[in-house]
Amino acid sequence: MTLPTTITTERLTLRPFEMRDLEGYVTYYTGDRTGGVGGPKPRYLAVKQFMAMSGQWVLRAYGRYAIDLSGTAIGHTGVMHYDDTDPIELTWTLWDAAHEGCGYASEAARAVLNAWSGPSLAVHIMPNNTRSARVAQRLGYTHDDTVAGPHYAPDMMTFRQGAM
Amino acid sequence: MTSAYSIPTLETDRLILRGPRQSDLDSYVAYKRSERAKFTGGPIDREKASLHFTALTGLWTLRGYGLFMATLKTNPNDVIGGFGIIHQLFNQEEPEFGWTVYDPTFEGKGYVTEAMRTIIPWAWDVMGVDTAQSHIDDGNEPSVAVARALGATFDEKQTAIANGPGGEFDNDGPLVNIYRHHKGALQ
Repeated sequence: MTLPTTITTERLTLRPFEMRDLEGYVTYYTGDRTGGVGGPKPRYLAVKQFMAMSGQWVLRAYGRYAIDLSGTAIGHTGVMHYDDTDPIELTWTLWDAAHEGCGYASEAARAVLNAWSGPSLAVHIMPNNTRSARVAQRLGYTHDDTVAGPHYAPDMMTFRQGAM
Repeated sequence: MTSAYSIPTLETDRLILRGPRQSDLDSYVAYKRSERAKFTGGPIDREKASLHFTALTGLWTLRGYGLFMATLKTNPNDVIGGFGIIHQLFNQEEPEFGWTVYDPTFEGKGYVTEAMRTIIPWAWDVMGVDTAQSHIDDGNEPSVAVARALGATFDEKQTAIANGPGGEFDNDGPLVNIYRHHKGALQ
């Protein structure tokens, strides 16, 4: 199970997180947009999550990337896997509504899927997050309503690769 | 795969100090779930501890320094503790020299001092500063003894600021005493 450190797509660069990405992430995580993933949350938790996204790369040879558009991080995508008891998940998030509707999330997450060598990746999405559900469908994922969400967010919908 | 970070491996008489690995998590979680974690914001459950461990590891990728995992040379598979630099990205201006023995079996044998005597000289150039703190909860006398053995002194003024209104430790937790390290103080 590995991913390259950096992936280049047509319009984006998926690269390791840097300190300069912190504020963009914290603004997202402490704001209204995290309604889809259980937020908004306090700043200290945002910082901890940011550090963990970066730190996972040391512990495993894969993790999540900053989605870099013209030199600035606009979101993150990649493979989340903290505890061995957790599912191995593909995630994607755009930090600012201004970057929605351009296909960036699909472009970035598809590049991760193409680069990934390992077991199939679970996708979990909150029921009201229709934009993310559309991205999942574009990536070839289908909602599996026979499966509950992950233990940390049982309300989330589970998507699986391929048709049901 | 090229790497955006590098973590050195340091060696002391009895210890190997290396970067964190996923297989170290169980030792860390066992400590954080135990009563012994009361001096470091615990006890906490496995899910929280797992996130915390991964986040701490992110110091290496984001800052270029962090917490080493220590193993005995005679048993390189089992981590006995985490020793090194803690410098959170939130509410922590200065880097901190920190040390925790995860398994109580290995306390009282001088491992912490031995590890820190190797880590501290390495740390100054990497951190790019000439002073650092150690945060020690009131009542944790064994850690005070380690700080003093490493040449640190009690920083009364910073302790008052950090525990005062709006300070780093202005919360429901215990009083946190700050010990001050200076480059060159460790002989």
